Amino acid sequence: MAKKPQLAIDTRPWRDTANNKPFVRIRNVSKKFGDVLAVHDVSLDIYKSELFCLLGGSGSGKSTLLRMLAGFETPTSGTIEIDGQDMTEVPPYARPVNMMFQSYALFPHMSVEQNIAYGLKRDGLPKAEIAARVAELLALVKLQDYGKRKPHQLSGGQRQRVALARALAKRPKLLLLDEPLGALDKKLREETQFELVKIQESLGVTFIVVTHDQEEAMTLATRIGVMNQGEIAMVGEPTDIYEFPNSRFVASFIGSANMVEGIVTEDEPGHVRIRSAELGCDIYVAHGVDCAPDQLLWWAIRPEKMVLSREKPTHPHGANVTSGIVEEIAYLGDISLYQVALDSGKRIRVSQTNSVRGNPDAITWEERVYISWGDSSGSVLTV
Amino acid sequence: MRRGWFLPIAASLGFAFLYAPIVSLVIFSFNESSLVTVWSGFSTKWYGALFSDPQLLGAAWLSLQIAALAASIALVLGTLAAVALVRFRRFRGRTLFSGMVSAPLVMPDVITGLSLLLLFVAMEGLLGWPQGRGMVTIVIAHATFCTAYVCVVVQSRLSDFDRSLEEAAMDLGASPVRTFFDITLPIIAPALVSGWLLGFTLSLDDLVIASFVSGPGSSTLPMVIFSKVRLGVSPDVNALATIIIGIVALGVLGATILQLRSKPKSSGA
Repeated sequence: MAKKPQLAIDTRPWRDTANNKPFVRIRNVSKKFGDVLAVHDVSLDIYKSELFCLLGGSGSGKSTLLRMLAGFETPTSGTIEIDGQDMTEVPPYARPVNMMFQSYALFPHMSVEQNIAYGLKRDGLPKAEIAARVAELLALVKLQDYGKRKPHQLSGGQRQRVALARALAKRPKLLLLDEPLGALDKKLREETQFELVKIQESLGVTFIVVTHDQEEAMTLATRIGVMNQGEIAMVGEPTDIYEFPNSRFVASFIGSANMVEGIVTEDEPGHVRIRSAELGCDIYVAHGVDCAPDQLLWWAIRPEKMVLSREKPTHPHGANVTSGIVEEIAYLGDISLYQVALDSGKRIRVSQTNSVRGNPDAITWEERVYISWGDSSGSVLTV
Repeated sequence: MRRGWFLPIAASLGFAFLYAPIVSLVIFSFNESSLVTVWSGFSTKWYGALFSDPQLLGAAWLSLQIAALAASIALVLGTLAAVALVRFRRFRGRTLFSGMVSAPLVMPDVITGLSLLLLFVAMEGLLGWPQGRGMVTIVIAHATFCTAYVCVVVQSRLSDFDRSLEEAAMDLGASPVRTFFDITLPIIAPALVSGWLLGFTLSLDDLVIASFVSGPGSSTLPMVIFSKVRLGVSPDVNALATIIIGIVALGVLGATILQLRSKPKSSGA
């Protein structure tokens, strides 16, 4: 697994917006293709040396947003600032930004060295300097012996590294990566993730990565922007996104979540009680929620935040326990995933760690079990 | 293997059907006799006679010039048409344009020739240009149908073209013009060359259209051969035909090789 850039709390600039200037500033950007609204009123601040992931499904507008940052598309409205300069109307060849393409887009008629040198030649650098820089980049991506090869003589992973080296050649202030690991197989992806983060850390370049793979986003990113239908659904650190989703969309898009409807019965500053017919019990939440009595809302909980037992656990407030019949068990080695049918017909997924080897006493099919959870294990969602 | 004998025989018969006439023509071009159908010994004298026939040589030179010019004009126009069709997916009249560009591929030569002749005559009457008919009108006529072929060849190459290559070049600091010459042109070059060769060969071949739009003193090679043959086949025509076959074969071979080379190579190193 890749290691995230280790940032102390005080080096997370997005946590102190008053004293830190954003490096990339996207303000109210919209993009229309004909009648189709690809990106709708997106505002986003990205700070220096961040590895920011734009995460979303296909058609969520994440690639369009990236292409606007690169300059291949012009926003229909709104502005894009990079390092304090308005870039909205600047053509791609005049931006201090480079991009790594999903298809890698290596020039097929040029060797690896020529590919990497292309951007440097456009800058009119002296030959000796170009050669030195190319050698340095080939060493960075560990392709020293491949400089004379043509792209079609390289493997997928090698091409990916050439594309990265070419995009880094001009020492861009900002590197845009479009599905950088999308074309690699699983094992190679994991290795490459690690290398990518290492390179990003050592060069201190700001990375903006577009991906549809949430695992990739979680492992790579300092922050993630979740996109849905052209809008930013949530921006936050990976743990925020996973543990404290702000909407039903984010809760169900990232990881898996059980989601139930409920009605607020008690609304106190210190706790909230929600009655859920679907769940067949009350939900006691140990913190205040911005809601009104009798309001309809949703409650989401991750499968690993719940506990299965044969005995009915007690709860001081007579809540947070429900029961059902085990319908399906998926044994995944480290964990087992249980699908439990509640009396209401609602199906809940619970995962349990297999901490005992070959446990003969494990919960099995068709058993009646109790499901319980902590007072702040779930997320209350109003949208 | 019951079919072991069938395929080779079928293939030989097929090839014989296609190439026996050409082979016999080549053989008879080395015939000593002045009677075309009677073999009387090996000789290259007809090639000698050919090169001392100013009418034939003049026609050959004219044909080569016309073919080169027409192919070059067609290359520019056909490439522009292909770019318009591939790069601009939606514009008013695209379907009509696409159909019109490829119409000359299926139009009978007689009709193309006749309509061009009528056009040239009318233009001369109205505009005073082109004055009379000759090399210029043949070049224009050939360029029109060669454009269709070039367009088809370049179009197929362009539609395989990964646009992100151009974007990558611009991203690395190349202006659009620079990008065209550094990236687009080298990658579609094989298609351009094979399109040009195709146009060149087609122009060299054409008898019907040229007959309509040529004027006095501007007989192309196929026209001269055709008129000679009508008065009785003389063996020097065999020699000439052999040379033309050689040139055309080289052209087609070159175009094919370039087409194959331009295909993206399979991956894996």
